[in-house]
Amino acid sequence: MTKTQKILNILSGLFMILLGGLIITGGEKMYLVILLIVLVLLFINGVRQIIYYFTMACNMVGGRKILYNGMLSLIISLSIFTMDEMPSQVFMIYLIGMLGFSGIVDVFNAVEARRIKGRWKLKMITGIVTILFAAACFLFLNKPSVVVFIYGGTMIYNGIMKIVSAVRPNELISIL
Amino acid sequence: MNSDFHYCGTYCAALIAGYSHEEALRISYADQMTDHCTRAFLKKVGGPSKAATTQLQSEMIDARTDIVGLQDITRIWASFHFLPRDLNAEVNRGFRLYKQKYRLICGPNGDLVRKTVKLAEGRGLEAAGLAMHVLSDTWAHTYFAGTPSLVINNTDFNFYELIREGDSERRVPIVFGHNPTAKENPETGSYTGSIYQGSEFSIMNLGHGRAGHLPDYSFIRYAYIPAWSDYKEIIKDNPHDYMMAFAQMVYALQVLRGVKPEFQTDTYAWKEIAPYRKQIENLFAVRRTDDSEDWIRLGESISGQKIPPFSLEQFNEEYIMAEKAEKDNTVLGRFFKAAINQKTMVSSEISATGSWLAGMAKIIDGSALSGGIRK
Repeated sequence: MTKTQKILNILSGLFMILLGGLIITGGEKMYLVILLIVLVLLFINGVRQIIYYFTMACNMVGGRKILYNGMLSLIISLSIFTMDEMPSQVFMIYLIGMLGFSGIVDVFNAVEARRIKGRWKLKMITGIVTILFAAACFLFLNKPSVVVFIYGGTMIYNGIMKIVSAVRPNELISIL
Repeated sequence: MNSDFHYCGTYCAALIAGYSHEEALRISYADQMTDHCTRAFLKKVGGPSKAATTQLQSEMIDARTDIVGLQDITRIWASFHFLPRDLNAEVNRGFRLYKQKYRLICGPNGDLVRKTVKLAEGRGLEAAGLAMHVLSDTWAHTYFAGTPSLVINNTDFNFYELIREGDSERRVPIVFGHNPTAKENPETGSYTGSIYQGSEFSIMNLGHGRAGHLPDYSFIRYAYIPAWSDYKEIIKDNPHDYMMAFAQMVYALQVLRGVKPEFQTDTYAWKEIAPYRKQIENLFAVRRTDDSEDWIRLGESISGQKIPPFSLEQFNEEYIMAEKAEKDNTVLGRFFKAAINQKTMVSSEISATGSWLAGMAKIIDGSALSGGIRK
């Protein structure tokens, strides 16, 4: 992780803690703010990847993967943006689904890191805790105030973990 | 390439080219020093930070990924470890940045190698050693660029070691691990490469990081599809390439000694290395990650002298204790000057093609350009 990436990770960790706090204190309507932020970020990421594909990665072996990722991000973000009306529960399911998915990815990364004798414990704990939070959200899906509280707590937890992983020493392959 | 070739191999090449034991040791010291002259080392001895020829892992982790940081990385790695083969290569695809990056792909016998050897002429054994490092790395690091780039340096799962068995050849898939502390073992096929990062400018996409240390091993032959190759498979034959590097190095050192006229690319000292060729080929053929012992045995049999191990501290005190005006006349002082000259020359050549990737070269030593380098 470069110095810039570390700073960005610390900043995004702080932002997540702040947002988590706002969600807990702001009540159940705050999920719309979260959703908006998630969709805007997804949209920007999609546009960025598509531009990168057409300017650089279209000449690269396996570069289409970058185009597909970009298109997928754009389609998901735009399709949700354009929906006229959607019950709050559907939004919550979407957010919880994303939360659970990020936990699963963390667990898979930890398993891979363990296989190659790399650092895995922090990632594994983060992944499992995130999955448990997502499962708890599903259990209380009919009680939006509880779900929003759990979701806010998860964001604070993930923000702290992001900062912890940013300040830890990193490893790199030497090229001489 | 590792210290076995850069230190012990270069010592042998210098002896064959006609240098004395002491001179050959100085040349091989400067060659190996190119892999150690970091900003941390320069700070320790009080040398100029612009003379850095490599970066520590910790320095790279902390390197900025903004334009200035990327230019600093490119200046170091393209100048000393991934010398571009053709800065004016015809590229019929991609936008400007893609073309600029493509032209930084390293390879032997480019015009910059000729300029590198020319730049070392008459500038001492340290400059000769540094030039030999650059020259030999053009063979080992072929097909990779000394700038962080996913679209150039990435590799995928199509990676196979080619193992000869009699007249036939077996393809063994290589799956890279990503733990930098894991020990590599050619017998079990355990190799380590940098992890995939989708960011174009990630430091993980610098040079041959994605292909691990394979380019640095003399025994290995492998097939893979580089990111830039338009889906064409490349076969990298290190034993062959390392022999070419050695033969070209002996020739270049003869030129620097003044016994051969001006350096020409694609010229090799096959006649001079003929008595040792079989021994060197056998040395390259052994499946191991370090050939030092065999190189030392060969070197000591040629010179009849003991080869001391490389020491990073060897000339530090001389430089530290020297008066300011005398520093340039020390071993490290001459090495630093050679490094700055090389970096200036390569950066200005890259910049002259309209590329911003290595930044604008600041001319510190006018001699770098007055020696017929930029015409």
